[in-house]
Amino acid sequence: MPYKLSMLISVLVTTMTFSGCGGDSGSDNNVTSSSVDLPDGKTLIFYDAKSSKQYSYDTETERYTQMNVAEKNYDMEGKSGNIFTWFDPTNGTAIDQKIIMFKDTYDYSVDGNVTYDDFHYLGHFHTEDDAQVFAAHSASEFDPDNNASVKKLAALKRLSSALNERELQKEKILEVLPADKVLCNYYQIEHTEVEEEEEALPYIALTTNGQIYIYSENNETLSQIQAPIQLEGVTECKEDESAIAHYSEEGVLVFSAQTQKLYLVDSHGDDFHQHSTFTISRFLPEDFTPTQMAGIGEGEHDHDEDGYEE
Amino acid sequence: MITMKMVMKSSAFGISLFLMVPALYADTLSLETITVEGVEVDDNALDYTISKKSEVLSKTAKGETLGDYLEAIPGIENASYGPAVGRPVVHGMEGYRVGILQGDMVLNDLSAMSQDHAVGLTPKASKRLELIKGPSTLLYGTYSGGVIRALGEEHEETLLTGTHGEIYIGSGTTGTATNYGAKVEVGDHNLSAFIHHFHTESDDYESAGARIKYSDTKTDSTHVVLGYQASSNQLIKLYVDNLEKSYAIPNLTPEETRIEMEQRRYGGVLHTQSLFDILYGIRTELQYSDYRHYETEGGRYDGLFDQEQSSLSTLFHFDIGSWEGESRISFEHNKLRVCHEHGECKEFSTPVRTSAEDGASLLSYYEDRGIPYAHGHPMPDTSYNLFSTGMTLKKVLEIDELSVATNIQYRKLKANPDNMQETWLMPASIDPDYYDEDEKFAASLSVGWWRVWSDTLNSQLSLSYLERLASSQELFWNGFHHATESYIIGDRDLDKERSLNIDLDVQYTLNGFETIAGLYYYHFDNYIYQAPLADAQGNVTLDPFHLSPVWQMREVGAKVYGATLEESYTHLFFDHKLRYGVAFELLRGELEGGGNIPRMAPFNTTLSVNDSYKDFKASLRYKIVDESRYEADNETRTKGYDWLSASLSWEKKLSSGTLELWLKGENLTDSIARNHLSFLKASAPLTGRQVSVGGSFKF
Repeated sequence: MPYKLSMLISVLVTTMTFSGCGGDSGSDNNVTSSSVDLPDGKTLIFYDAKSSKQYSYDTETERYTQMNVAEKNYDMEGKSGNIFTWFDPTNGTAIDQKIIMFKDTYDYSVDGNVTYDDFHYLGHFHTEDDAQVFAAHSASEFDPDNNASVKKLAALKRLSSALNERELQKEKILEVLPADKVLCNYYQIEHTEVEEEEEALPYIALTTNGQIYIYSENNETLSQIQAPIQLEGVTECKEDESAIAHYSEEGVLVFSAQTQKLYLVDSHGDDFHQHSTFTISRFLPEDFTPTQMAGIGEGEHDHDEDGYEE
Repeated sequence: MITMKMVMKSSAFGISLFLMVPALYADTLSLETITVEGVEVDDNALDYTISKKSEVLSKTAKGETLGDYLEAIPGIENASYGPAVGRPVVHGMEGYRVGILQGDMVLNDLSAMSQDHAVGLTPKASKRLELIKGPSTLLYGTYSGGVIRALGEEHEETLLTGTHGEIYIGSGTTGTATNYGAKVEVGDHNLSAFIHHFHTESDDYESAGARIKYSDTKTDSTHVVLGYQASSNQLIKLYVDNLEKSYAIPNLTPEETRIEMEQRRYGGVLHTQSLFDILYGIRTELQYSDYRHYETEGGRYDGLFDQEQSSLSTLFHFDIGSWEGESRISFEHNKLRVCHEHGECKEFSTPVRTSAEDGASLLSYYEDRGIPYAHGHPMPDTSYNLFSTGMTLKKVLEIDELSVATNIQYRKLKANPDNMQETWLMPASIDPDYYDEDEKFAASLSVGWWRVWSDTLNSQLSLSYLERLASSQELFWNGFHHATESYIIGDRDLDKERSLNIDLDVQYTLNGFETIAGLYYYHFDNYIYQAPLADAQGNVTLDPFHLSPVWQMREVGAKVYGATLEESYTHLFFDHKLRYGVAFELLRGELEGGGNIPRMAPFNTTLSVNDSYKDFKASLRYKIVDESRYEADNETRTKGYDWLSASLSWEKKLSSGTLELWLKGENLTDSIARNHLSFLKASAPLTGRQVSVGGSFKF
């Protein structure tokens, strides 16, 4: 990542707070956690589908926030959902990272294109008073019958397109995944900036036994580029109890509900590997056991600064 | 008892304190009333044990590491790793081949394991430093490079009497350590107490005007000893000490790499004297120590090492007929734990075990690349019990002294992989007995012959066959090493290292001139060292995680040989006692099959002048270090440099005590000097010009 961009994001993230769209900033639910040295620059949202509890965690300030606040659009109290991260190429020149909380009944492969009725909220960072705040749009704002703007309807189209792309990615992975492995979750590392000549970034495929396969793409065909990685302690994986979040163009953060850990899997040399692990209870309330996670913001890649590793 | 000293009594060339040790035991009470302050009696250069007062060495030391204190002794170099780390290298022997002991105990630290780990002792806090070579080393173990012993108050065989103390302070220009400390000694003929606290701290130093980032260091050391005269021939000394050290590593990483080290020791020494006619001294030492250090990078706790050690040693002094003997029996229990996980090593943790296949990831790499790469903790927890017994016998003939020594070691080593993440365990399909208990014996033998050829010429020759047991790290380490930016693979099947060592020293004195020449030749059947791994085309193998060079522990035939030559002339000029000296050191290390051993000290020569005039002492020392000429594969050439040092001290006896003031300068020509022995030579040259002043008051 360019140094200036990294710095910019770093500065922005330090000023990030949570609000409703156009809402306030700051919260009494904002609590400092013990330091766990997660990569800076990320805002992670953890969601427990069983209890509907929802917390965000800012890796820069090392503070978590209880998100289920009644007046907020992102309040999930009494609701069920599936959280998803969307790298939205808003106008072809920039990428805006967004969080979508789909309803748990929605499945793109069955239900097709997204409508306002398929999700609870769409969240992203807004600039307010020169500060970046996390804000959420309610689904009803995307209802055509509720005078949804053309801009918002276009956003839903782009989201559907992204989900379709994700389905295609899945098909490609299934073609090459070893026959004795079952796919649990997957992710193609995405660029965080729109570039003229985009190089295809690796695919990360997580299997149900906790192994990660890494593939590169050439002419629409995937090929395995290294030995699989076994995530420490992971023996069972379900799609709705795991997550793979963008960390940088060189790695991902993998969440496992089974182990209640985050795994930083990255490549700062040749091979991807499990670089480090982070126990959820060390930075979120101990009685909170999330089943899902999403993350936005560009992780500050500490290896960029580690002369020995590049 | 006839000693070599007596044989040489009529000669003009010095005395052998070492050979007097039995006599000191026998006559301790009479020696108790003798007070010698500020006088360092020169050992005979050929003594098997060279003993120096630490405070004397400190006056010419470049810094506060053990290597700084000893590197002026011919044949000794300093493997520095920034100003906080300096481990002595003797005749090209480094790491595990040089034994460092505190008293009779192997020092509990990890300085032999890795170049970035500081030696776990503060030489300033010791009373004496001894360099032991030849057959006498086998009392303490099997070390090709000899043994260095740091002796504290607890190792003094007499009880302190009266009240004495010292305060001292010193500081200087940029990067020079600010030192201060105080010691107090109180005692009568039954009880004594001794306490010494030492603090040293320095900011980043400079070289040629450029600040060397991340080179600061800070050390606090406290040593407490209580003595009790239990009976007329039994003296008990109990000690506690605490060492805390915090230092940055001036490597190439933009983020600060830092080591926070702490070491605590609890122990006691029982001195027993004049038991029987043939058994006239026993010294027993019992010690428990705990060593720990954290390695952080950018504030993240990436590494943690903890080593607990319990030791018992008993040393006997005896006579068998006309043979004078010393025997030592020791037991050491050592437990080492290692954590290496980015940001997760504030404390040790036990990873989960699941139904997943052990070593799945490691096996994948082995199958894919032929090397079992791992990215977890680099080695299992290990513990061992080591029984060691050594004996030396000496017989003094008319003009000869014959010595013979043996050492036998038995070690039971256990590896406990519970600390390892399961995916990085060594699977049985690669090595089925990798974690099995390991029992090994080592037997070593040494003989020495010292002859007085004439009033002006004497020589000493020793021949040793040594067997060294490979360390836990050499056997088990498998992982990245941040300090050296390399991936290191141990070899579980390493044999004990076997070497044949020959040392010859000759001394010639005449009319104020003294010549001391030394030759040494060490042949290793299987020299254990880290060799860079390369493919058939010679391309260096890089690890898959960091693209760092892979170094594999190997055992190959090797030879190390060299020579030292010292020439000095001492004469009186009015009230000045002047000593002019010149010294040369040559060293080579070659591997069988071609190639050189890495980090062998370049050739060097030193010119010196020392002057003693009334209350003043002054010295001027100019060292010229040649460029490295015989590098190992993938080792870069190091340019030569020169180094000018000077010191001046003034000591005045007052009615209330002794006052000393000193002025010292190092690298006065401000040369850019790089130590070929240092892994950090590129990023951390030696210090630029430094001038320091200080003083002390003893009462």
